[in-house]
Amino acid sequence: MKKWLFIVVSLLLVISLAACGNSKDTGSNTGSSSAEGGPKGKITFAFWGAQTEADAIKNVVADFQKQYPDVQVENQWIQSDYLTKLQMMIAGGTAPDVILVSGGDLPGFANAFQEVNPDSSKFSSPSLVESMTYQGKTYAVPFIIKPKVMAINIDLFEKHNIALPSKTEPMTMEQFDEIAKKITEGEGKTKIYGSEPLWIGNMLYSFGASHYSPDNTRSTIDSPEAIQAAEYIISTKQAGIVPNDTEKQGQSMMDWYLAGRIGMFTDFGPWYIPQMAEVKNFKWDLVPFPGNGGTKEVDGLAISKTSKNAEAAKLFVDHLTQNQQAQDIIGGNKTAYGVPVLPTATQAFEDIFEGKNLKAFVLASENQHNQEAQKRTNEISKEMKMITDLTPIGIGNQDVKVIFPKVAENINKILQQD
Amino acid sequence: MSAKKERKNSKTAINILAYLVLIAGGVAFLYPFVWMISASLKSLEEIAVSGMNLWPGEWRWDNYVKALTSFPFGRYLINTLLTTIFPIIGTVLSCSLVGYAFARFKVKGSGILFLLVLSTMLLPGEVTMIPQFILFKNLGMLDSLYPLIVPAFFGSPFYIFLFRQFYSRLPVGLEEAAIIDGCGYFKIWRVIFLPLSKPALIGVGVMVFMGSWNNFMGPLIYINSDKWKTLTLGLAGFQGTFATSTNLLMAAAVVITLPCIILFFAAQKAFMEGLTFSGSKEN
Repeated sequence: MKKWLFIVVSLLLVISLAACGNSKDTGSNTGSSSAEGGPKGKITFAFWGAQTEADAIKNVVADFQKQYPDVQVENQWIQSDYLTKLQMMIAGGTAPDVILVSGGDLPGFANAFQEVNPDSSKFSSPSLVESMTYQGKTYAVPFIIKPKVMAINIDLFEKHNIALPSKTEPMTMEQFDEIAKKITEGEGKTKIYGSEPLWIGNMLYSFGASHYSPDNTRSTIDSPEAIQAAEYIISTKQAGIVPNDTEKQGQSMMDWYLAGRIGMFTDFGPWYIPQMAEVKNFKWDLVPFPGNGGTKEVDGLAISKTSKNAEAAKLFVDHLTQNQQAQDIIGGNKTAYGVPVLPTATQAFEDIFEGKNLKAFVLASENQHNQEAQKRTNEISKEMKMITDLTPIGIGNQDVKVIFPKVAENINKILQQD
Repeated sequence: MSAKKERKNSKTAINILAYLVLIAGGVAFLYPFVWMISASLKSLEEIAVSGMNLWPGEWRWDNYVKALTSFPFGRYLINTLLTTIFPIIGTVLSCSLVGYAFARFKVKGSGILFLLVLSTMLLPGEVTMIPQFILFKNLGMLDSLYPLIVPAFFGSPFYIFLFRQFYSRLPVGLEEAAIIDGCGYFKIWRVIFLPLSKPALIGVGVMVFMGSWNNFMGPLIYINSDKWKTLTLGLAGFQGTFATSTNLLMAAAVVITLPCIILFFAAQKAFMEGLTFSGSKEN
């Protein structure tokens, strides 16, 4: 009896172990042309994002599949550590045919992508193709834009008799400072702040500065404008119009904004919109980033150099980035995945949230500075960390006029190694 | 008499102090779990404003429904069970067999071989990640559960070490009697050593369960299609680069961590015995 039980259990285990995999080919199928001459076969498509974002992308892929049933798209949704997995797949020779890549990460992966030649006039701004370009060559086609705007707590504005900011024109930094001071009130755990702690990465652009020279070969973090941006951030901390380092430690500033403790939340991306839909305790709206600061993230679709079905991959990329219906689907997704790159599809995004100024995102997608990108991101990030470690922008006490030129010098050394 | 009473009083005071410290420690460890349950029943807005307050203003039981229906929970659960049960079987069988050999066969070079096995623990996972990925690619096992199961059947240095330590403590007489009765080495391991090592088996089983159930990097690297994804990847889906659905994440986390907690409490005694038994060698 015992022996029989052992045999039965063993058999069950063997059968279920055999069901732990399939015999399908894990690589891409070689493409060929269908009877009508169009591409066909299988392609793989890698993308990142939370469940809701992945669902938005899967909807566009499904739409593509409906129109092109001869091309089978295998979604490779990578929930976390996207770049690590991508590096692994490229190193292991199993790179997906089509890869979602942000403009900030593109230089590090450019070697693995095919060069493309998208027509920049088709998109809402010529800067979109620029963000997919590295060292004069374009490696991806713009797909979606994620700009930054400012969310305001209208109740706090009304309480202090402050006129609501323009919905289309960015306020000046002087106006921002004045409003933040008026909103700030109270003490301790009930204190209300004018703004969340400001981030140098956004503020640089509000003061007319940038990370690099226009040709991307030299750090400009030591420019007078960059120093001015840094000094302004320090002044907001000293004036107490933003939470101090101890208060913000381990805290989500978005949670503070949702709790009504922050009047103006500057670092507001489209990913926060679903969260805002639940807000009932105060009135809110969106306005352009003060001083037209902040940067927009442009995400594009790249075709792997090792793709065995480049023809189908190109058809897929062209469809997702330039087809009206595809752009309407992704732009009009309720999760506010991002602003579509086709100017004719931006209305779908604006209509997601009735009564809220989502137009601010659309304007920013056209006017905001592109994310500046370099190949040696990790090394440069380490140098940039000196800013928060050593100056009062973060936890240090050294003068920004001394530290910023040092950081620029170190970054320039890294750039020269390229 | 008074000295005895004094001693009794001081013992009581020490006991009270010890209990206070233990209760404080218990609360510190329990609080995150209670917070997780509390957050799973709140709205996002309430999580943002409630701070340390654990009592939900409005009980959102539908968070559980939303969380568990937003991804194919059943399929992910089956995959997680497969990638947990098989590694437990594989690890226990392979490691106890190898541990038995290291503990009992005193042959030339076995000490060096044991050191070699242990030294593989020094290699960080990042170093072997890409070669292992290429290995499984060449074996045609990518995008399946095999890379998460098969390695367990080839032993793991830490568990081999645990079994070796455990078997070293068992009396040699047992083995000698079995040999006189005509047992071969394999039968000695199967009939005598394996049944005697229950605490070690349960200890290792629980540790492999925890490691496999919570394994995130493995499924992330080897699995591409939804068909083979596991619960840890389902959890990661609630976390965006910038915004997180904390309430849904916590609801799913409560359901997913429940088996770990139940198993740990059920096997706590054997688990601790397994660890302490294998810690010292005394015959």
